[in-house]
Amino acid sequence: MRGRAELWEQVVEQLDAGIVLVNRLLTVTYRNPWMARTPGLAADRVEGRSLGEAFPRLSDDGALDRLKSVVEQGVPVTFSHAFHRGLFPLREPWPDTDAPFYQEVKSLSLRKGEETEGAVLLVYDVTALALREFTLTEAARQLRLLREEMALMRGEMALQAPSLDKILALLEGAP
Amino acid sequence: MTEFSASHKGALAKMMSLGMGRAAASLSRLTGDRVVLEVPRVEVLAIGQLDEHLGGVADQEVCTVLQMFEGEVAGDAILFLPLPSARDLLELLVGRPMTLARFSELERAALMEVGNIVINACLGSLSNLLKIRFSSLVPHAAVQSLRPMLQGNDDNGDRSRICLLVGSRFRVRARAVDGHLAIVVGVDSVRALAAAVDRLLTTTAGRWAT
Repeated sequence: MRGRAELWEQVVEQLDAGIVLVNRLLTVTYRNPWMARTPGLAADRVEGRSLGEAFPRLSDDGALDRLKSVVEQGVPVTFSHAFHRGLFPLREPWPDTDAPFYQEVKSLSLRKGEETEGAVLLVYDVTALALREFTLTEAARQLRLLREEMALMRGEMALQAPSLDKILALLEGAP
Repeated sequence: MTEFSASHKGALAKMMSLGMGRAAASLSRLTGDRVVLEVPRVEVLAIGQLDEHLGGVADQEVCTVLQMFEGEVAGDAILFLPLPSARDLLELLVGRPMTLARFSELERAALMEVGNIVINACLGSLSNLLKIRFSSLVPHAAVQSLRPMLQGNDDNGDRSRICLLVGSRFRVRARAVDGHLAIVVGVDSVRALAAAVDRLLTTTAGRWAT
C-alpha cells in the first residue's frame, strides 16, 4: 500500500490544479506545489496555520463559513469566479502583467469511516476561460449595438432615399 | 407508497422554509444585495404525479443543479429553473447582463454555486432537525430535460420514488424569479424520512406540524 500512496503523492504533486488539505479545525495540513503560486507563502508558512489566516480573502463573502460546513456537515461546496474575485491570491510564476487570476474552487469532506477527518480544496485556474468569455461577451454587445444602428439607418434610408427598385429603374434608363 | 400525513407535510414544509431562509442569508452575503427566498408551496408527491404539478416543464429544457446524496436517506436534490428564469436570476445575482444566447461554462459554474447554496441549506435543515446524516456528492449543473433526472437510473422509471417539491421564489431588487427544488428519494428512504419526521413530531409534541 505504501507504493500506491507514493504514486498518489506524485500525482498530487504534479497536478495542474491546486490542492489544499485541512483538518477538522480548518488548519492547513498540506498544499501541493501548484499552490506555491501564492506569493510569499512557502509551504512551511502555510501548513499549520488556520485557513482564514493563510488565505484572508476566504473570509470575504461568507466563503469561510461555507467551508466550515464541509467539515461540520460533510457537504460539498463550490465557488465560482463570478461571485469570488480570486479567493487565493495566485500569480503566474513569472507574471508580466497584473491581470487577475480567475479561479473556481471545490471543497469536499475527507472521511475515515463515518468520521470526517477534514476537507480537500481543489483550486482550478479558469483565467483563460474567463478572458475568452469576456471577449465573447464584449463582441456580442458590439454586434447588438451595430445591429441596432443598422436598423436605425435602414429606417432613415427608407424615408430619405429612393427604393432599390427605383434606383435600378433609373440606371436602366426607364422614365 | 408510504403515506405522508398533513402533519408530516407541515413539518417538511417548515424545514424547507428554514433552509431557504438560510440560503437567502448566504446569497445576500455573497452578492451584497438583499436576497429573499420565498417558499410559495411544498408538496410531497409520487413521481407519477409530478407532470400535473409541473405542467409540461418536465419535458422542456431547464437549467438544473443536481446534487446526489447518500446515507440513511438517499436520493437526488435538483434545483431547476426554466431557462429565462435562470438567465434573469444570474443577471440579478451576478450583476451583469447575459449577452450570450447559451449559458457559458462560467455562467453554469455561477448557477452551480447558487444551486449548491440552496441545496446544502435545505438538506442541512433536514439533517439537523431530523438527526439524519447525509453525505453529498459534488453538484453538477446542466441545461437539459428534467424527466430523465426525475425518473432515476431505472430504465422503466422507479414509480415508487417520491418527490418533495419545493416552490422557490427568489426576490432580488424588487424582481422575482421562480424555480423549484425537487428532493427525490426512493422507497427505502421514504420510510426512513417518514420515521424521522415521526420522531421529530413526537419529541416536539407536534409543534413542527402546525
